[in-house]
Amino acid sequence: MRVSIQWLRELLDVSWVTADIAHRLTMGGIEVEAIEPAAVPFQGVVVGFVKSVMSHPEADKLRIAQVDAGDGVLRTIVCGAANLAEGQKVPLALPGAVLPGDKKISISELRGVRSEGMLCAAAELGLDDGSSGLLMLDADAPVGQDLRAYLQLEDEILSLGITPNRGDALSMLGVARDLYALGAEQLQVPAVLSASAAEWSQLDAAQTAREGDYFVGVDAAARAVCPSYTALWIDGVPARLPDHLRERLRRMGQRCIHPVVDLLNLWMFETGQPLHAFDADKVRGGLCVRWAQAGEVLDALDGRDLALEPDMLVIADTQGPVALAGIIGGRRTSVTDATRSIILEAAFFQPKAIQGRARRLSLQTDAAMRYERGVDYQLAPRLARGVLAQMATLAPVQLRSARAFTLQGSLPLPAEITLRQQRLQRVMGMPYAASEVERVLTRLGLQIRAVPEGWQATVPSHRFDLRIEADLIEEVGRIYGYEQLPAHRPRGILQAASSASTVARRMRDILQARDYHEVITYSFISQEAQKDFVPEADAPALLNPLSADLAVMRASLWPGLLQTLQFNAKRQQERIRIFEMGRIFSAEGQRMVLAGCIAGSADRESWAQTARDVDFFDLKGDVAAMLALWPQTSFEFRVLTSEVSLHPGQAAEILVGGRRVGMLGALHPILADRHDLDKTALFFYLDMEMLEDLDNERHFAPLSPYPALRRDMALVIPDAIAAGTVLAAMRQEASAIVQEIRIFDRYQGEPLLAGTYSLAFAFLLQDRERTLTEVDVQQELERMLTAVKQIGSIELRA
Amino acid sequence: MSLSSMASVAEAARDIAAAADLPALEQIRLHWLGKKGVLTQAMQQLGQLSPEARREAGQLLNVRKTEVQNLLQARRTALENARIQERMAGERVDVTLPGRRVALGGSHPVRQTIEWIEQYFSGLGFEASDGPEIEDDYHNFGALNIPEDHPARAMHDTFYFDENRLLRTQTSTVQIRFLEAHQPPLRMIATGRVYRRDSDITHTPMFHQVEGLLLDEEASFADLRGLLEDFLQSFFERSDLPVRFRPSYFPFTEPSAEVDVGCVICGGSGCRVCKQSGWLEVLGCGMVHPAVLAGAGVDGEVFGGFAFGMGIERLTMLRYGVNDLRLFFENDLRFLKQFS
Repeated sequence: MRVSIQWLRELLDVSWVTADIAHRLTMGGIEVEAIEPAAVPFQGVVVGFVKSVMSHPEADKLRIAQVDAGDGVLRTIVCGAANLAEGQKVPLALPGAVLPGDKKISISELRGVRSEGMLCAAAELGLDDGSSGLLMLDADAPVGQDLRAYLQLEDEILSLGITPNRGDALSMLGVARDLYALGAEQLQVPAVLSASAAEWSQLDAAQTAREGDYFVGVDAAARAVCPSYTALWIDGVPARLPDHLRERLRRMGQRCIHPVVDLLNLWMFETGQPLHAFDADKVRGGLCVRWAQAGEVLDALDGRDLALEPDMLVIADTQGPVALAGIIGGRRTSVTDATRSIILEAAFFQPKAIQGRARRLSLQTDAAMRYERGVDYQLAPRLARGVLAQMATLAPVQLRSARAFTLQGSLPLPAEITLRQQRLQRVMGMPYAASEVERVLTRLGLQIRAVPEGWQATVPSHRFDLRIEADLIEEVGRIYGYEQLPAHRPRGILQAASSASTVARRMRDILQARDYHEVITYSFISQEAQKDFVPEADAPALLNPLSADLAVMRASLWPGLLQTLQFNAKRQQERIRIFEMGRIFSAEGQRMVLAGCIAGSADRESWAQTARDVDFFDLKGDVAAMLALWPQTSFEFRVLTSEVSLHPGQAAEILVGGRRVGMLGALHPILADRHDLDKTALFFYLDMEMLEDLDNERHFAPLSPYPALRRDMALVIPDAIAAGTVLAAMRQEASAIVQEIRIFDRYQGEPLLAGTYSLAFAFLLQDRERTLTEVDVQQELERMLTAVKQIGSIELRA
Repeated sequence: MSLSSMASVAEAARDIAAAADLPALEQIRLHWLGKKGVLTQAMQQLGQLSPEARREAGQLLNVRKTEVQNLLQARRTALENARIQERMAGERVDVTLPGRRVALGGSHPVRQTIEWIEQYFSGLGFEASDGPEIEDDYHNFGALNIPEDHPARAMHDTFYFDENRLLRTQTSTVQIRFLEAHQPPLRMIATGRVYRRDSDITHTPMFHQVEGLLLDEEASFADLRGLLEDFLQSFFERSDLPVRFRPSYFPFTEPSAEVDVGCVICGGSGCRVCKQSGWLEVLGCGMVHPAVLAGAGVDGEVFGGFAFGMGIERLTMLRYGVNDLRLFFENDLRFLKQFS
């Protein structure tokens, strides 16, 4: 919404300068987003009168005009504009003029003819209104007057951000009303609005357009949502709007379209009431306001054909819809240069009959924006009179017929709201003097009367947003000023908040301590990426994705990590260690997951370490460091050979009590190839929700005063038996005196037989009650060895 | 006897001083003090003397023995020190070489802001909460006083899965979820991902918000002002940071305000970031709307309070001077490492 300060001052006596007006509006809840001059600077341009035009002897496209600049001399101007004609008033830039863009005008010769200035198009003056050719001025424009003075260009334009509740502020009048409430001296409401409702002949509620000789009707089913409809059949239309109105329209950011349409737009900008004009000669058999029928189409003014739905209100003639009520008109009955008679529509449509329809049709119109938010329901018949009166000043017009339909019972009732003084203070946290409250409400146009607990207020017809007490509290608060609000501190019960998951935080800390960087990737990914990692995913797909790359909710964090890995690998990152904590999705719901990925060198390159690339055990070590947060839980790493995204020989699932809590492994070489990764990338994930369910409390165990003993044992094991299997068998057999079993060496090759490997175990033994004897130790080791041998042909290494 | 002992001590002193290393010194010790050492044997011969001479010679021998022992000990310390000196000379390292360091990673700047905010409000008794990212129409709109076709819906371009399910457009949904499970008085803080169908230089389709809610018997708009002023001054680490409340509109609060801080980039004199206004909008807030309370079954005559919400990325950008929102989701390690 744009506001011309000049126009505003016609509606409001206010001594504030523009900056003050802008500040008050912003601090009153109507945000001023920008303040711009109404016209960019230029100088030396006057109203010129084209006395004569003749062709240029040397150039077909140029003509020579004799132009009167009001100083008694005729100037010769060479001009290329196609619309140049004798008798016109046009802007003339005199020699010495400076046009926008610092374009200096001087006497020059054009194809052998001396030109003493330049005739200007609107765009050349920065006054672009969509017109082409020379800017035509009114016939009575005073020749020689400075153009800036003539068009009153020393004006400023405010761009306002109007919140969706404030339909009333989508008009000059609405903005003026707020400023009045905020302390401006006097509001000057246009007389036509404060006049009593115009006495148009009323439509019989039983009639519709097709009955009798009425040219307009409101269908019975539509009356509740269109309780006020005024139509004037007017013969004669203005040929042109005067300059000051055209200029006013331009400042509102609206192109000139047709004098009638322009006029109606101006009324809409001024009052907030959308109006529409039909070409009366193109309307077949009269107009009717009714609900659309399925299958009907409107040839909308934006050039599209809109498929209408039965919950859309239309204006129709006997051939079908000619307008979508309160949203957009149709092409067939639109006014054109050939129009000689119009049917002017001024109506009130209930917001609920308009809301959402425009959006459904991908439309955004000034009318819909206002009707959706609520238009003053008392305006329509009054404005019809105002438009007619104004048209009569611009052209010889004749009112052929006028009909109004008013269904009082369906018009909104003025809201009655009680505002309790105590409640006001309780909500705002500060006291307001009764006189201040009364001043604010009265200035906002509410009628108030004192009641014991506060005030009873009647809301004016233009404020659709005021319905409940809280609305009035907000009005008092904002108009009185939030700047007046003291800064208190909330008081309350002192109770520590239950903290968020510390496990998640500790896991992130562990990863960060191990040189992982946290990343955040989008929760939606491409269908293809999803399939690469979770072919069976049933995660929801978006109905309206931004692109195919962001189409389905991720069932795994790995695709996002892989993309990030690839992004960084392309930027010469030698060592990449990243993780993300976020949700994955399935048909059943959403789960919090921690996932990570490493690739590249195992350490930052250093003089002190030999360079090598990361492998499975680097990643497993990182994962195990996190799992150590649950010392009582035994995590099983089980070989995984069929995970689609992982290397079948370097993948494991992590189980607790047989349930999978995570997975890790090297990216499948096929996937790595497809993503141009030349180094092994390894991925893990852990299901946070399952891990957080595990007990991670610490329990104290008394320290043993007796010495601990270490014994080593090397075994030769067939390749088919995994180290974990051996270890698990030992752990199962071990009694409480075995404090720890470590694998400290693994060997394969000569002199061992092919198909076997050797593991060296270190056992740490200690008893809490006594010093262990060699017999105790030997018995323990024997038992474990016996258990291990039952797995397969495992032997002590000689 | 005594003379020969005297002579031998002088000799011993000479030997000890000449001992080149610890084994040589040990030989000397054995020669003098060993089981068959000179002084040991002299002691054994004392028995042959008269008691009087024995006492005198014994005392003398003990003195001599102590003397030799002291000489030995002194020489041993000297030799040991020399050996350590010699070893240390070979152990010299170039301390200017870089250490064998395990590099530290870091958390995402957005996470850092989230944690900062959670910790701040946790200290004030706000309980951390969260809700689902895939929401239903009711929690995202209806319960927040945004009925279908309400013009305010146009404020949010929503991603839909079907007629009812959508990606939450705001963390305000958590207010409703929390109210379904808790009775006032209550204080809640929720952070998380939200989604809007928008993508350009200043919008990403996914971003993060934080939502706060406080309901009790006395909380007021003035309390909200004080709370947020403290928070913002603390977050931007400037106790004199100007904070202003500007009336605005949110369907689920009334009265509502947008909160501006004096531009932290230019200090309020006007720059590109604050669009020359000197102010930066950083959050939205207001008193919880009576319709929201009623929908949640809270008696609005007894309990009332406020809610506030803010965009994490925007706060993070302002705090660190990050100039492009999209950097947060590109995850360029060169960017992330600046925050570790």
